[in-house]
Amino acid sequence: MDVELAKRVLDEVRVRGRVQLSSLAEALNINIDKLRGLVEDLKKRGALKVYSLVRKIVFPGPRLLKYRDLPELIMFRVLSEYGRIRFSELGEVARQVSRDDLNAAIGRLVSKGIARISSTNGDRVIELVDEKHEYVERASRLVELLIRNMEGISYDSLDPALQELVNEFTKRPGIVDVKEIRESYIEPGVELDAVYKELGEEISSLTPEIIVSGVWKGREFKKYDLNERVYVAFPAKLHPMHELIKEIREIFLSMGFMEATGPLVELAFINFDMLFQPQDHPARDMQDTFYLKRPKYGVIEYPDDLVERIRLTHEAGWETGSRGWGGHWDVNEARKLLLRTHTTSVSVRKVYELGEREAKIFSIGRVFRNETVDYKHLAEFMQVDGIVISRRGNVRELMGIISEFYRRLGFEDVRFWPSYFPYTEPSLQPSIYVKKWGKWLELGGAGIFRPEVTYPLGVKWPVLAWGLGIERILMIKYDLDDIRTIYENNLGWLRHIPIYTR
Amino acid sequence: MPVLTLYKYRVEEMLGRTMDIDELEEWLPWLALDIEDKGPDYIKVEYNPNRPDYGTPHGIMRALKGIMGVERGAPKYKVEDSKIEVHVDQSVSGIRPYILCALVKGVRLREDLIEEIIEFQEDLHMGIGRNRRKMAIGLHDADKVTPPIKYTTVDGSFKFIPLECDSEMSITEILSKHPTGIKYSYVYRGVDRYPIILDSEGIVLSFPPIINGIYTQLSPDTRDIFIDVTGLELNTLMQTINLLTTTLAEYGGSIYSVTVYYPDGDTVVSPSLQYERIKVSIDYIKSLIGVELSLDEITESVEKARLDVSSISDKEIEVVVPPYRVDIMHPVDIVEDVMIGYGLWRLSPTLPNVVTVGAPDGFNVFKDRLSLIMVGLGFQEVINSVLTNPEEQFVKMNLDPVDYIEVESPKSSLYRILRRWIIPRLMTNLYRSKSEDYPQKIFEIGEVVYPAGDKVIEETHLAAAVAGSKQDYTVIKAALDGFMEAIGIGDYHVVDGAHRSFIPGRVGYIVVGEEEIGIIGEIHPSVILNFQLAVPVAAFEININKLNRILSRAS
Repeated sequence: MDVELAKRVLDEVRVRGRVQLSSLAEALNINIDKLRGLVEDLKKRGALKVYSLVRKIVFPGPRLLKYRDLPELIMFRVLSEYGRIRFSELGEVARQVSRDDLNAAIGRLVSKGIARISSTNGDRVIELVDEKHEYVERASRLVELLIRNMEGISYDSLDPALQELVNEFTKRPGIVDVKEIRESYIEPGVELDAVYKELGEEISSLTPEIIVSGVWKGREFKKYDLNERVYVAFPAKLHPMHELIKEIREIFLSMGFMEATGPLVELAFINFDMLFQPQDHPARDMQDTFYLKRPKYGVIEYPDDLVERIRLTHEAGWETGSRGWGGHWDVNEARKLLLRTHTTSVSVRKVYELGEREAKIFSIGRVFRNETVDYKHLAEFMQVDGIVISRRGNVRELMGIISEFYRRLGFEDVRFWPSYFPYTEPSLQPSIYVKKWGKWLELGGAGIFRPEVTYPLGVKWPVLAWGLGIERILMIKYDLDDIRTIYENNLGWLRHIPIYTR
Repeated sequence: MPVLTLYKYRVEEMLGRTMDIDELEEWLPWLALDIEDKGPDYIKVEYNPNRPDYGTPHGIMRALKGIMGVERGAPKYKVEDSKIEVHVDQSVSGIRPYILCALVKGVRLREDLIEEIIEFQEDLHMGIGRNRRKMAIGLHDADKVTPPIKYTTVDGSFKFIPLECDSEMSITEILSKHPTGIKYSYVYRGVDRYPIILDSEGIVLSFPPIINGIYTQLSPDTRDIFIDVTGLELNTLMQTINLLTTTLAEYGGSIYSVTVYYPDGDTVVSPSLQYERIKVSIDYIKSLIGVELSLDEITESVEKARLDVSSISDKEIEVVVPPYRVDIMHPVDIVEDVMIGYGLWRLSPTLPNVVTVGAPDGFNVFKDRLSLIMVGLGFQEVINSVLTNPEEQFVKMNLDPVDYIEVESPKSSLYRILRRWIIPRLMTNLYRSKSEDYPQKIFEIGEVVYPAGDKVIEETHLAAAVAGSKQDYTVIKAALDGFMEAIGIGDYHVVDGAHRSFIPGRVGYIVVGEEEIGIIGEIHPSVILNFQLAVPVAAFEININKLNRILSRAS
């Protein structure tokens, strides 16, 4: 059994009560015999009652179709126009009607008292006596109906007066044809709801009851449109930046790096002075760096002799072999609290903590710059920093680590140009080639910490160091032209973007 | 960072051959110059202020000729005595104590070249000069100057005709009315004597570092240039005057020194044009670059970097540094020059042979695990900035704006304090996602910062929010229950609380044992409206550091 079709049949019956089978077949657009079989089935299960009715259908007869009117009505209209007409003139005024029909029509008008015949000077004359006879009105109405409905009119749908008229016309040849048609009807049966329920649960959703009761046996399941997209179930996901950070972490871990972290609020001492950034360097201005309003100063929790070595290095190079920046190094400037401008603050903390010990360290985190926020710039973004401390670290190894890092992120072409940072020498600027943009992109800086940075911290070994921005990598992946998109957290964006995979 | 335009015709003029822009574009990055822009007949480069000698096309070409191998070794500059004297008055000592001068004769000044020199001067003011406070330069037509020169002070009523003016102005007027005076008036706030440079006839050369007098200004006819440099440290001034005179020598000038007499009896002759000698260990060079360079290769590289080699052995090289290389302060700077002279493109990357064991940060691992539980509970992760504004953190949340950390002079008012808690940031996210399907469930794990007396506290919080019709306390509490169970804290409870961001009677503090670790509740309708939302929101926020401590105590 076509369960879906059966449900639709039952639906119709439920809503409309009695339904004619042939019109149902038409409405459902199926073969009537197929429907009969189904109905028989449902009848057996008590869902339906089926019964037949005989219907009389009235069609226009050939004579009516010939004149597209009744001869007596044609005659009537002629009379209405002229009032009275001599018999000898009849052929002239009603010539579309045959002579026999004309005579019969006159007889009918006369017998119904609509017209009468008189004699004047041996000339017979017919004249109208009742202009508003109800026969004329009824017959006109019926004729119009029949002419308009060539496919027939249900006898039952006519009002009693017209039914009477039809009966009268059946006695006259060729006016109407009345045929009797047997029609099947269905009505709700006593078991309709039960059967419907059975059919319904079977097809759409499989319930524990259906499985356990075995009702499903031998029945069909509702066929689904397998590509239907009614609604989208949004999977909750990690933020793409988190996915990228995890990937970067995995890369460095697999290369033997240890992860480090550090605070967002740093002393200028750690963020700048330990990194040999001169105290009057423009990057230390409020224009570029966020200083805290309150508390303004922090405590330098490093031994006094370290602070002293750093002062001496800044002023005149101390024992590093450098001439230093000159001028006076102010400890109060170093005590200022700020939002770290780079994760290199974490790296330099680790250099001091570890000393001359082979180590590979990385850290990932937020950094801050007092920038005007626009499509290219953020005031707060993520950076990955790394260092390698070893006895004979060199520029080629620095290039090697960065190349490997980018290669694993999917960027095969990495180039290095000379650059400048106050705390590294030599300094390099790595660039990656972005195939889909067809251009080179600079993503940060790298170098070997200057002796002025490491010697005061007790490390004479070279320390390879780099700091790279990572938002751009997401921008490449997702073709973003506005960096702000990343941290706007519009759910539409987060729900619809695919997960980060390189 | 300063930007400089190199025109094709200038490059070709200086190089003595044709060179197209594309070839130039290939070469310049090897000098640590960033290409900013290029056109058919020019290229714009950005240089770092640590290399002020790159401040003119001549300076860049001097270096470029080196790495191209066209000219090698340190350029030689001769200096003769101009016999000009400058006398410094005692009164400048507390205000702008130092001055150095020099004379450069026979400079060819075309209009375009004057422009190059003026730009160079401005770049020096910004870089070495730290916006003229630390150092400022005055350039004068030497024919208009009658030595000896006097560096002294005057009071605010002293008058002269400054540049860009046709009548006399007093010092006070210059500082309050002249556009350049207004711009640099900050240098002399709260001062009643002002430094002035006068010649023997009383002509004003300069009111440093504000503005020069009009009488001695340069013109295309000027051939001999008199230079004054004033500032706060002698070292900086000597570097600057060495840079200026050697650069002007590239424009065809001959350098003459000037002697400055200080009131304490010291005399300083400038420019010094001292060629510094620096010894560098050969092993240091080879080991830092990572290449077994031969002594010849090292020598060649040094010379290509426009330095001289005065002696070299297997152990050590002695390098002669020309006076304009003010960036060189340590032997390691010579190593970088060897690298640049050798050609960075010739170095092949390699991985370090340092065996270490990798390990993630434990707390980061913990945070990642918590994130995955939240994702499992159907919450989308968001990442917001820690920087935000008090309107979001407090005002819209029905709270008084207190106990937060503010930053100095933020460029954007949206980012001027550090977030105290995360839920308001999530409210902003919900506001931005108004047009997306509900229910919305989001969470963030991240830092919050607040003051405690004169200390700064940083904590990591987890905040989660649900929004949409029927997203009520039950929904968020179910998520919290599931979360707590997943991390193995089955025994916790919510204590009735009062908090103005939430609906009274539907907010409480999350307590584990005796310790309060967070808050949970239904957001107050007025708060929802403050964020221009129209759906119920429920949220919780917990301190992850506390959670971590509780868990490590338990294990």
